[in-house]
Amino acid sequence: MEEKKIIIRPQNAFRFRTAELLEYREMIYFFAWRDTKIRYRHVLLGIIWAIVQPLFMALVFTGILHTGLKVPTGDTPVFLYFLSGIIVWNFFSQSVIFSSTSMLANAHIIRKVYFPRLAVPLAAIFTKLIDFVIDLIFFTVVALVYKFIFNHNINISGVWLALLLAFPVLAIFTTSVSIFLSGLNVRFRDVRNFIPYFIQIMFFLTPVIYTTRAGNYPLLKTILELNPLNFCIEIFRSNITAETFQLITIPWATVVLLIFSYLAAIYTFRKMEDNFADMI
Amino acid sequence: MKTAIDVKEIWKEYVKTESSGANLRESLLRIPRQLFKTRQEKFYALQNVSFSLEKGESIALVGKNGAGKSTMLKILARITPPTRGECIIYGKIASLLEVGTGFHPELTGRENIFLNGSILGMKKNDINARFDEIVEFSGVASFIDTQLKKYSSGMQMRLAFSVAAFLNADILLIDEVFGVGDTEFQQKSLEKLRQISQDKGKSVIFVSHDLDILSKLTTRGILLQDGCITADTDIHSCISKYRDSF
Repeated sequence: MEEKKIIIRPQNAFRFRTAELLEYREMIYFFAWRDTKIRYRHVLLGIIWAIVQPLFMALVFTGILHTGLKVPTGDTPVFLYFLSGIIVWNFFSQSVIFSSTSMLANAHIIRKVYFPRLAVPLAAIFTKLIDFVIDLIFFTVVALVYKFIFNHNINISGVWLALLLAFPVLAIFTTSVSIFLSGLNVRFRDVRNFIPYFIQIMFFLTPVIYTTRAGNYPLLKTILELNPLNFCIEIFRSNITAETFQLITIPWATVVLLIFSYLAAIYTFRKMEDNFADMI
Repeated sequence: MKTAIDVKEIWKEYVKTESSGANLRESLLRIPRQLFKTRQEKFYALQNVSFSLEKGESIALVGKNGAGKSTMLKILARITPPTRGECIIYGKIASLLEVGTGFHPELTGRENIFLNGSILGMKKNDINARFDEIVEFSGVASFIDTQLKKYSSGMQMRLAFSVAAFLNADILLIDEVFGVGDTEFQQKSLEKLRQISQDKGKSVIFVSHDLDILSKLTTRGILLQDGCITADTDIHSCISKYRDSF
């Protein structure tokens, strides 16, 4: 039998330790499983709760916002237009909020047991990923209702292909921001006071309740190109009613921002990780 | 004999300021102080600690509160890094600095066994394979699908100890986890610990203030005083030296 050898040294230098994270995948699974289970155990409606929030938000936007502020949605039904944006936005914002508090919520475990600390925010994101998938199934069902009952021209396979292309971008960006803030929140407890503002600002910098199609606003365009969520929502929305698949090229600014945020997040987290038990 | 743990000149330093800059404002305020190198009061939890442990050997760390026993275990468990020095660990290590780490009141006993087991480093298959043994040992079999919050505290501790007792590791670090449950369970758990410590394949480091139990479980003791090793001998002379230090 090959024997494992562990060397413990002061303040381990920066390294990625991906293999180790894979070794602990079962633990990530158990953390995510625990959080999902606890959330839905006492709730009669169970998994339906994942749908209620985006449903109501989309209804409110369609009913109130749209009557006053006509959003040019083209052929796309307004309700589906808002719902698509809300679902993407919710995955991002819920993941960031939940994972940034996850380190402190698991402080008692971090103080007593060794494991790659990244497992904690990653498990938090997985929990929200389950909601995201449920929401997407819900979206598909509503879209089918529009297609077959209201005779709208809706391209379900196009939507899922778009989602497949959008998902890596959404996942990398959400994970980066979540990891960055969850690590920072251990070091600086006041980060959690900043998160609501951050989420609010991000909401307005993301085309959830507005569209970038109409009008020519160069500054807004540049800002939106820097926001990876914009690409995800755009490609999703463009393909709801498209007859042929609308391939949106990902802006360079988005790619650069994605790479930068990922490296910055991993770097800061790994730098601080060894001392989490002393700080938490 | 093969080595299981090799601890070489470990130092652990803590800064004794009232706050380590837990928020952004304090951290910013600390920058000028650090630039001018204002003297920070330092505290050494461990000073130049070296020892090694053979495969299959069980030792006890003895010392007063704050002598550095738990810090030593935390370094070996990789919960906190040393300031200087190096430890080499040969084999799979598991730490029991507390029983029932990660137990959640809303989950059932069964679910908590899996959660706690995975936190302690067991694979799902290992847990499945030992599940019946764990439940039987804990004596809470009839409540295994009941939520943990409905358990009495004694039952919770028994379940927690049982998961820990069936850990599959080459090296175990055990901090004050004896004396759980009623007298009968205490006897049973002590017997289990004795089995583990006598297992030729397992190396164990015990930390406890219960000197009687330590002398039953181990043959060698290391005495820590203010972060330094002052004795590394057989357990009985280690204990008597510790008693003399009062």
